[in-house]
Amino acid sequence: MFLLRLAARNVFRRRGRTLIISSILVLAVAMFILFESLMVGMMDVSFRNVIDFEIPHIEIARKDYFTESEKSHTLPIGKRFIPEDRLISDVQKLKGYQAMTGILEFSADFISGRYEFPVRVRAVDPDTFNDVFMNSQYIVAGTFLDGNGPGVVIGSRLAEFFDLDVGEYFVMRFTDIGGSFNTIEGEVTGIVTTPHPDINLTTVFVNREHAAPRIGVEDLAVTQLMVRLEDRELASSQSNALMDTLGGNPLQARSYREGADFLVSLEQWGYLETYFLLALFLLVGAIGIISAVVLSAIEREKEIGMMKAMGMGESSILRLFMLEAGGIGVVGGALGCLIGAVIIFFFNTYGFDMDIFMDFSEIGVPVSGRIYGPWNFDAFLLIFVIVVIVSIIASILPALWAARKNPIDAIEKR
Amino acid sequence: MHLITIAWRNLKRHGLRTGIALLAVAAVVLIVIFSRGFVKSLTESSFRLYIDNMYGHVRITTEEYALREMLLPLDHMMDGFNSAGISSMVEELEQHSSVRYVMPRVRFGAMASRDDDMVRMMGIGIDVQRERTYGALAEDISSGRMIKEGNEILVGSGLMEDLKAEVGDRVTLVFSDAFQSLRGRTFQIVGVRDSGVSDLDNVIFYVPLDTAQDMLWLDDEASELLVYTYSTDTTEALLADMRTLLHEQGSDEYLAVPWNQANPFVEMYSEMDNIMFAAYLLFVVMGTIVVVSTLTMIVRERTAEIGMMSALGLSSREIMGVFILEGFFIGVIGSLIGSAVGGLLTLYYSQAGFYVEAFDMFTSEADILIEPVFYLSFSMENLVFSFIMGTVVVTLASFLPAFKAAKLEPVDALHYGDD
Amino acid sequence: MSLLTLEHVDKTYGQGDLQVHALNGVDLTISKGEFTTVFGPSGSGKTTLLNLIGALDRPTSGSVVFLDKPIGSMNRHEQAAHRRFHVGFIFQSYNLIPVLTAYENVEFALKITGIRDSKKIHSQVTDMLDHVGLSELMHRRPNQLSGGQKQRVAVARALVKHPKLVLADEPTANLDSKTSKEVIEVMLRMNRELHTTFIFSTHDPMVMEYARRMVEIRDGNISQDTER
Repeated sequence: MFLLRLAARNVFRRRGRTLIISSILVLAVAMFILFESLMVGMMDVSFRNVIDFEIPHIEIARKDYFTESEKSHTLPIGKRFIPEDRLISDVQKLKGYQAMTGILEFSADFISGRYEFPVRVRAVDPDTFNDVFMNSQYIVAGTFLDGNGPGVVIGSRLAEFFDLDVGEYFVMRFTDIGGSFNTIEGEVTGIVTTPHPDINLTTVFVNREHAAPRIGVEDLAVTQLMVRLEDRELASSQSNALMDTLGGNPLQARSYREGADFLVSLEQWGYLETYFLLALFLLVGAIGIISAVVLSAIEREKEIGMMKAMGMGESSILRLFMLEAGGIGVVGGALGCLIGAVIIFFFNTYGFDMDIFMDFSEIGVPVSGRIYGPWNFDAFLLIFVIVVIVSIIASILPALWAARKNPIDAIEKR
Repeated sequence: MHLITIAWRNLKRHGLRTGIALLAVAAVVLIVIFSRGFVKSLTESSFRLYIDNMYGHVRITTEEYALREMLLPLDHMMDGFNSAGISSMVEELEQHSSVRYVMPRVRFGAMASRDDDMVRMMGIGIDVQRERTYGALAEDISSGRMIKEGNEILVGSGLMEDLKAEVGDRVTLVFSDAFQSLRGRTFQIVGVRDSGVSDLDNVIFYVPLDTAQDMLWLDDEASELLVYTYSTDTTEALLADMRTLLHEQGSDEYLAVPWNQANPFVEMYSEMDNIMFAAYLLFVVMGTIVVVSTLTMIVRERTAEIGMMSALGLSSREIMGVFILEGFFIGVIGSLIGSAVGGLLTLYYSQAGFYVEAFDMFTSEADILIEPVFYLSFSMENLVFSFIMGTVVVTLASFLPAFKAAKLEPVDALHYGDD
Repeated sequence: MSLLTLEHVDKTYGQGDLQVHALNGVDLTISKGEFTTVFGPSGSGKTTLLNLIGALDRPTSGSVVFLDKPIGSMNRHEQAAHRRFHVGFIFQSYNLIPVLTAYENVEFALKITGIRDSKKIHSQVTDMLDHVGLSELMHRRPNQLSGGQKQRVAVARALVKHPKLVLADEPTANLDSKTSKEVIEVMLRMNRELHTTFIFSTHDPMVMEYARRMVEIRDGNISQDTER
């Protein structure tokens, strides 16, 4: 205990140096907190956009649908299924269940004028679809599907490419279930601009009632059953729970995360980058700590010599220096967390405009507009503990050096 | 001169203390060299891919084509100056001293059916003679040979797998011609291209330019001209030349775009160096903090000595000089060590490269042309830049403790004994 | 009764041609309760002798025995433990811990002996500060004390654990004659009241006057040993 008090006073005695050295740690901590929040904020928006516009919390489809749609260029319309009542009631019993909708998805070429472009067509039931997805709230022209006619809704980027407006004519060419070319044609009824850039370019929405007979599938057939839950946190556990009840069924349930491997790998890459940077910061911080211990030991040579002459053990002196280094770590960590908290406060309140940095949509990341950094107290705790531990570990060698110095040399040096 | 001797001897007096300050400077200089080498190689290899495969140094298209490029339209072709044909335009461009060579290309969409599945792909009609002489294509051929003429195609390695084909096989491709009618033609696969970049290898096949023109019902036309100069650094000059030329020829419907503005990702990365400069500076400042705290201690420890020096009549400027010199020595030697180690490290990794798994997953999913193996770029420029940055920042930082030393009153300083 | 015995003690520093013989076959016996000064010109080996007696150093050859314990052949850790319990040190430049108050500096010496009983610590420390006449100033830090006061704190610190032996290396060298007298008188009083053995080195004839035994060192040997 008295060692602790002594260490605390020594940290305080050289306030200037403690502040200077700990400012390295402050930089490391504040940077980490900012990066972490920026990344989590970005991933949060990305995943939210995926959930709201592309794949909701849980997606149920045939196992072979998942495997084939991943590796082939054309969506496998043949791997459809008709949801049984049993499945529907199982899904409704899931914890946090909110809504569900069936989707029939297939590939087609969107043709208008002299151009054509490959798109993904989502044939949906407008009533239930709007309970699960948010697309209808982002309509910028015309109306979202209302159940009459083909009711084609396209994204704004696609509309731009084709120079199309509501009411203008289009053709979609696709291969039907029998393997022959078939088309859906009519007028564009609506245009959406969602925050998910991919949806705005490559996805076309039509009424399932209209599309099913043309593609040659049963009225009730769907390729995916999309389920919305109350909370993102429930997705994994509930999709696993559903997998258990499905048993030997050829169907598979997966959470939004499994469907968005690109985002997941982006997230990993982001974490890797953040921690790599943190490691570099901490390396410099560790050198700072080593320097602080050595400077302090040189300066207090006589004092240490005296303590040893009085019979204080080397291990006590070692501990004293380690405690002092830990103290610098605590000061740096705490100040860094404080500054980090101020940064996050502004980041959380006013957000950060991603568009001034780069157009993320161009590389396929579903982010646009402002992102807001979330408060992540785990990150604060984590970095604080890491900084203190790194400080203490970095001090071991120089502290050992200081503790083993010969007391006679120390005392006699004038 | 005597100040230098004093400064030098003082540094040697506490070897360990000086050593740690040196270590700090060396470490941050090393970090800067490493990061710059990394960013440079990342962007350079990525840029090279974009330049070689997509944009040239300057790419010329029609304005309409640039707008709808994603749709691979066939009706915004370039037919040369005053509609005299693209071949004569290519020759005319190549007359220019800033132009090394020009590659005319036709890009179009095509499909092939494989077991109920439509494989979508992009065909590129290439001037075989030119691409063989200059381009990067020929280097990446992993099996078979380069196309020569007629209905021969060179196929990306990933696409090859999707087609379940082998070199020598014949495949029938379906495509729309310039008149929007759906047509088919059978090609022989004579080679496989493996560039290591999935975005290229999974979707692209190459066909001789005249074959492409013929099958698509195009005349002497191309969708784009990739214009190459001698070095990336002279892109600006090339761009200016091309714009003047296009204007003189009255071809204002043609658009010349330099590689670094052709794609938002490339644009962002080419500006990366400026953003990163702040990060480098931050690291160097962190290392400098160690030097400052060392010098501050040295000043405190030598208070009596400073008092004695000023009592002897040394001006405060000279006293400042001693401490700035000490900072300068630490800066120079530390940066030198950092540069030496950094030089060796970047040299080694510029050859060996290292592989990061998470990045591989990332690039294969993202629409970015980057190879998943990292190389560090080795350059003298990097070493010199980092050395100067380390030396300058450390020297500037040593003004702070030096100023403190100079401010000491001789009387106070001499009386500053023990506590 | 003898407290400490040195037999044929040699101490050599350095190696080869650069060897310095600091002590050459010193024999010395110190009895309990002595108040002894060691004097001699600088470089004569005084400090080396005190270091050996205080178990701060080991002889090159010969033996140093403290109450039947061969302290000359102990390892670093054993020596530290020995000093912790049996030896008090007073130095020329006080060597107080600057961040601790007078009270805490004295307390420090007790705490490192492993005593946990805070009541006992408190009474011992205040007693000792009382003895050296510093009760009033005990919550001041070293930089708020005069030289004499600092040295009295150092005396209290050396004596608070009731060691058998106190070594003082030039304890009055930094003090004026009046303060020197005060400090040496405090030491002498402690010697009488607590029967603690004191060995101190000095150049000051006035201080030397207080010693009951005077040992003179010249060229690494005892040249004169007189008792009064």
